[in-house]
Amino acid sequence: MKDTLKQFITQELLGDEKLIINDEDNLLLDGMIDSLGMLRLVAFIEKTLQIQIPYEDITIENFNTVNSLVTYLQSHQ
Amino acid sequence: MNDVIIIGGGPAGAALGSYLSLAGIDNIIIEKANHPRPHVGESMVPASTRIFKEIGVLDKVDQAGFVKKYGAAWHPPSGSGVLDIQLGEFAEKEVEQAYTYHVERSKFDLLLLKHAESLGSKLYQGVRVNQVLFEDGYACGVECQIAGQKVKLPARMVIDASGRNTLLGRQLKLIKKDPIFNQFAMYSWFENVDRGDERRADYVHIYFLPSERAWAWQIPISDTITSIGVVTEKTQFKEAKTGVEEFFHRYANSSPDLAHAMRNAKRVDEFKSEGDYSYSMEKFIGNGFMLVGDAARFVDPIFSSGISVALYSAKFAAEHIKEAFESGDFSAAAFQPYEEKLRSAVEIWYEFIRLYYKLQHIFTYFIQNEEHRQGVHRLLQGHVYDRDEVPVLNEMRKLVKAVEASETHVLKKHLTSIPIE
Repeated sequence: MKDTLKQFITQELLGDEKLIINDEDNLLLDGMIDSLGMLRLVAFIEKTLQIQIPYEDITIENFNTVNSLVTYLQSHQ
Repeated sequence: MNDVIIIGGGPAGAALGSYLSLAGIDNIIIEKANHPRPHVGESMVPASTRIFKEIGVLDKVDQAGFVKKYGAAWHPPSGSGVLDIQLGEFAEKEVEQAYTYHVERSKFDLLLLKHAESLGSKLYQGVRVNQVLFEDGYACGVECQIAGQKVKLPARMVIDASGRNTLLGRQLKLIKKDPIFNQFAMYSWFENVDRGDERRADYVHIYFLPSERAWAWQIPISDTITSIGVVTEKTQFKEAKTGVEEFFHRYANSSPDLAHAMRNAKRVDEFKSEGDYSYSMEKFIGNGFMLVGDAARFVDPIFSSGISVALYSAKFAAEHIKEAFESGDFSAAAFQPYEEKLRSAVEIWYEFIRLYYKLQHIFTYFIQNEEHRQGVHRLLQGHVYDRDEVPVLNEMRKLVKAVEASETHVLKKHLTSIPIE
């Protein structure tokens, strides 16, 4: 799951698959991914991983880092 | 005595004249301008095709050389990631046309008007209507200005299709300005606009500008001419204390994508502007009269809804006028169902518009979401007529509520102050 997410983020959202994202990199604050990118990520997760993300869960806590996202997704699988 | 007098020969008046002529009801269209004349509102939604078909003008429209509109594209303010839709992705069942049109309004409006005339509408051009005449509480004709003389023309029914002039709305003091939107648009035609990659070159392009409620349109008018318009809150324009041209370029340049598209653009027409944006009449009907199209209600043009509202209101009005001539009942009560039908349809557009301005990301999210994509498509195609439930709008409202309720929602900072209830 982690690799799938990272691959989508680098390839689709950042447009450079050679980029390396660390598990604890702050995805939101460093301006790495804007809100539109976050919504694309949500759509991707729902489609590819078949996990429904309720609107209220699209929060900074859950989408802060790859690690926080994976923790959230695993608890909602 | 004339059967029906229609004030205004824009798309609403011309479509209504056509429907009435087809139903064997005599009608006169009185138009103050001499067509062709310029008009704003150059893009359409596919729902309009149905009306063109019904009044038998689709072939003429299709062969007139208008630019075919196959899709729409949205550019985020940051300049990253264009989002687009193809109008044919969920094509309508009845009308198998994967496109609608971008139109040069002078040409398009003249085409519709001539069509109405060919079906039997009498057409008076260059004639100004001063007022609608009333007798015993019923509209009974109009007073117009012909060669410096005031001339009275009697009629069983009067239809106000005067567009944003809102002739009857002003006469009867029915206008209610929209409490939420006070937008201002400025626009012109340009050559050498870079319309982007070929696949999307003939789409309508909407550019989000980095200022609340501000956006710009890019509409292809011909092979070489592109209409570009900037829409913003009127207060922003007033506070800027600059002329239209300077303001236009400042805002257009605030979007990296639009600045790029216009880097070599050359203006080929004068700048025009449109204020007092949205309004609704208190009522759309009365004894012996009805209001159609922009004369009844005008909502923000972000979704190119205007012409379709004009055409469908003409269709609905024609149905009730026909009934009135059959029953002899021309009272407000007889026309009430028309008002309800039109009101509820435009209300769907209005709600979609408010949610869009409330949180522009909603749109981006829903269009990418498998479950909601079709619902958004249906709205963008113009499926707001004759329907009650619009599940996708309820869903959008749910998202807004979730964002409002959470302090740490990713979209929190993008919420605007637009009320949606």
